[in-house]
Amino acid sequence: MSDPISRRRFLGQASCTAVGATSLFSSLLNLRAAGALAATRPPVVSAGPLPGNDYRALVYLFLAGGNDSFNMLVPRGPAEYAEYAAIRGDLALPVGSLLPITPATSDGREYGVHPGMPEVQQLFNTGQLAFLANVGSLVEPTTKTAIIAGSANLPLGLYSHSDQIMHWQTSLPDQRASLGWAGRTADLLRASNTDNTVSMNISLAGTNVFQAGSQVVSYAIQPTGNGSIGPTGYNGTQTVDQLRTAAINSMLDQQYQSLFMDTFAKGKRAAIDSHLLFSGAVGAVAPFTTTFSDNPISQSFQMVARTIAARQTLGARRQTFFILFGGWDHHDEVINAQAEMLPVVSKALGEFHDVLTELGVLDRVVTCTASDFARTLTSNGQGSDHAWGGNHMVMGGPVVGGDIYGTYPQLYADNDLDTGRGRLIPTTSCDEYFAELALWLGVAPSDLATVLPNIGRFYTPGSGPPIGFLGGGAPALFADGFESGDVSAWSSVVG
Amino acid sequence: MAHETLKTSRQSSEASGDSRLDRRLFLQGTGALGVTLGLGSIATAPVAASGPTPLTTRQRASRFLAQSTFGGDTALIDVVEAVGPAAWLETQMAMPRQTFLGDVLELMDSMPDLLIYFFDWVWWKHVLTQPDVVRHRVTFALSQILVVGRQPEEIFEDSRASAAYWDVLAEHAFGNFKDLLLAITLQPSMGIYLSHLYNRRGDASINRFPDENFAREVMQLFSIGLFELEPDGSHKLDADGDSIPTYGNEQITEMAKIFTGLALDEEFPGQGIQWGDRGLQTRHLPMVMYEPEHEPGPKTLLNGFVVPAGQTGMQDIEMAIDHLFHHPNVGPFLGTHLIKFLVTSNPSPAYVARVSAAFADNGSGVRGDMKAVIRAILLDTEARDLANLQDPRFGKVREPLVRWVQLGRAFHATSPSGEYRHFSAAQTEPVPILPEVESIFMAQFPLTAPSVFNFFSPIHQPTGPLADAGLVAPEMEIIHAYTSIATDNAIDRATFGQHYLQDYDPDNIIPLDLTTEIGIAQTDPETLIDHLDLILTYGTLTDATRTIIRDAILPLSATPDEQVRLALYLFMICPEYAVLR
Repeated sequence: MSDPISRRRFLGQASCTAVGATSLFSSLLNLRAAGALAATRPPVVSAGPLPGNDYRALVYLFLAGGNDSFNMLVPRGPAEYAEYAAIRGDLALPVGSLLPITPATSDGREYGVHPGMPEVQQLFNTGQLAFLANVGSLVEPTTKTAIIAGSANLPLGLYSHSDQIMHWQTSLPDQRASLGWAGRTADLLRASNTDNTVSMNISLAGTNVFQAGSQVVSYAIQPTGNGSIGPTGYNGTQTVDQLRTAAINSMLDQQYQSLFMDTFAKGKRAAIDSHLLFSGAVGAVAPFTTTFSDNPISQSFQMVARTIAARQTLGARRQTFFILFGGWDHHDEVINAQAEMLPVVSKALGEFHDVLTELGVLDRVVTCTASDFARTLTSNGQGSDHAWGGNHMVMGGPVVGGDIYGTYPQLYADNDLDTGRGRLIPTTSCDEYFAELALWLGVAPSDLATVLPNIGRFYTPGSGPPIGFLGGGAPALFADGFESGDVSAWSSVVG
Repeated sequence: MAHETLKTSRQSSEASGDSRLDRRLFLQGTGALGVTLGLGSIATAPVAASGPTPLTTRQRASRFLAQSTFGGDTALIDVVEAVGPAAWLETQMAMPRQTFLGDVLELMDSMPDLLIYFFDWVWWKHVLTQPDVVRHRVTFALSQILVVGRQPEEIFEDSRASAAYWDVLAEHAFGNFKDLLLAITLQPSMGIYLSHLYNRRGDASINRFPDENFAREVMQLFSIGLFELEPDGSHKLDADGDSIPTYGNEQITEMAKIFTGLALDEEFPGQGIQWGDRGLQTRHLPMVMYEPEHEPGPKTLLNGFVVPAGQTGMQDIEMAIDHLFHHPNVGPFLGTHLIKFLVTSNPSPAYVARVSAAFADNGSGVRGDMKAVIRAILLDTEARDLANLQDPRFGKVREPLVRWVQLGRAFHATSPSGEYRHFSAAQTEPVPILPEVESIFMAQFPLTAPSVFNFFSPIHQPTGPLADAGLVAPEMEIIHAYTSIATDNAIDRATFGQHYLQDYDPDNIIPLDLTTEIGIAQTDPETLIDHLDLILTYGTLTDATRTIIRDAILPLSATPDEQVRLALYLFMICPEYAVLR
């Protein structure tokens, strides 16, 4: 018997994998909670097709389990490193191992990235990638004083995976909502796609809240083959296959009284119809010269690139992609686990940047990271525990890279952001982070509160860029030139 | 919730097996129901029939099995029909249990190099061949509440660890929840998964604090949940109308101190228990306390409850588990979960309250009696009332693995060697390893949830009419564009091909045995449909779908073998089988 384990082990090998992959949400149902979920579903009316014919895609890389991102972006100068080393104890990376980066805007401190991330270092230093410091879920701006006094309005289930993962997808930390901000974005923008047979929202990690809209259902594909599969024998020429095809069609097209059966049947119908278009479109994409590492994360990025390359056949002007990399819940072995996992992220980002360059769409695609939370700055003797604000990356042609946005926090114990054990209050909210991305995708400032209902607590739409990592001109949407290759595909839209 | 108002005043008699009432109800049906008699008449009723669907006692037995087990086959249906669900359930709960660990150790003797595979082999052997079918199904549900995933190498590489974990779930499935909670706390698999194995006492001088992982999840996911609950599962509300958290972060840091000092039960000659794993040969034995690493001092848990200083570490743990066990949330928390795994995704508050009451007191003053909870769930009027078959909101999507096991049990996937080799554990990664794995990739295998939050969320709402109605459909989270088709293609391979179970050696492929069904088809294809309808859809197949299947298989009358395979394939993939009501 051959050993099939090596790849299976990939995601789980280095960690406890208490939070690994696709199923992210917790706890319990009760009917009141279900009713509350239903109440959060205002129907979103499509904004109609965007003018112009440009293509834009957002790639959302979720590091599930809570990346210890204060070991991803690390202060490096003598004073700030001493502060870092003191609180991290046995979790501190050696200062000499850090890969130096030089932010365009200095806060007086020096920084480095994790030694396993040379591609990220290079992308940063060439202006293709930026960091966002100390981002997290916030219901409203808050302070340590208010938290101690018990007067702060805090995210539900703060420090818990299930809630924080949900909040990083819904941007509604004061609710248990079942729709994601990419789903609401797609509800608004999908009319810009000439063909919605294949959803605007495409997932490499199955069903997720991030991409669930009131109208839009994400389309789940795999990194392998041409991404999708159809029923064996469907549309086959043998008698039995003709019979089965007719029966499948009849079963999926009839009405069901049971809402469960109805949902099941409609989902399978959509799966078959999407596959027929998707696999053909992606299968027709010429092989890339860029090569991708042989792991599920790099392979997922490759499939995203193939999908982007097939955008005209798919009729897509706007797309979001969801990639999930699980296994970051490093209560145990954080040093060794990150040493294996951060290089996977870094390589994948480098490869994806290369292929976007090859395809000539570097300025059409923004890739960004998300994670439940960062981890306690203090150690538990084996690893670190759940915390709050953390550091993130945004990459792509539109990104004004080579800089750290937001405010990198002080790391000494019991500072004004430290709620205990180095759980830091975020200084930039997820709402601001996502607003910048949503505006870039084409959400009108007047619709921003539809996508991000709490945005007004942090930012006034129309008042300039929420953060600025996508440039000062948000929304710079209609400044784009035509993509010459797209003209014929979009002529019907452009009219 | 409006379920209550939809109920008829008629009380179900199914649980007691009162066939006179069954017959009377049945005779009240309309002519369109002839198909349920198995007479082969072709009815013309619309899909959305109105009024209660009468089922024969035989069909009801099949329905009971669909809720309480991995699904019936004709032999089991015969038994349940004969004795009635309630009495049969008692015999099931009294049945002796064969341990997984025993089987794993036996295999280890002959094939020590293959230790990583044995949990899967033993799992399939038991669920396909052993008679304690209710225990299997309840254990599978518990394994998705008290979640351990085998992905960490320290668990996966030693099947004894997974087998021992399954065994404690199975042992206490019909025991007491308090014992279950303590047992899973002390299992090395859990200690590895949620990192409280070798969790050290704090040392403030070097900024080291106890690991909070298990402390958090034992409350959030394994016992009480995040918010104070009423016995009917709804949230208690404060004066402002807000939910009331069951604990805050301070309670987690205190609870984390409880779960320090646990070590593997490895004694080394002349040294006793040591701190730090060495041989890793005892991952199937409960963890033991290594006092020097247990956090000393008092610990303040929920609502000011104090675990006093000066106890042994194990006394601390037992007291903390007892403390959680007596929290009023446990009954509605556990009850809601189990109802959703076995009967319906959106139970009425009254149903939850009845199950909570059984948890609180089994009738003899005992709290946490799992038998009482399971009886309360499966024999409740909401589970048994046939009027619910007409309620578009009642029921649940069958879990992919539940569908798969029933396919094997009901259609005789039997291994001549007695070994059920299958590489299921290898299929849980995002990228299937081998081409042939892709087609049996079904998103769900035992003890391989992608996270401690299980394969799917209990509050998942698929976009569409269910969400619009405020309903959840947890299982739909793992039934998406890719897996829904992959599952169908696995069924294709099992029905048209030989591949029900397989590993890397073609000699070990286990096919279904459809001899019985082929015999039926040779006599009358309509009887074949009745046969499959009884086993898989307990007599509820609609006329419209029956017509679709009949139209598909009748042209194949010259080849009964092919006819059976197509009929079974279509049944297994049809929306009416995918949903359990």
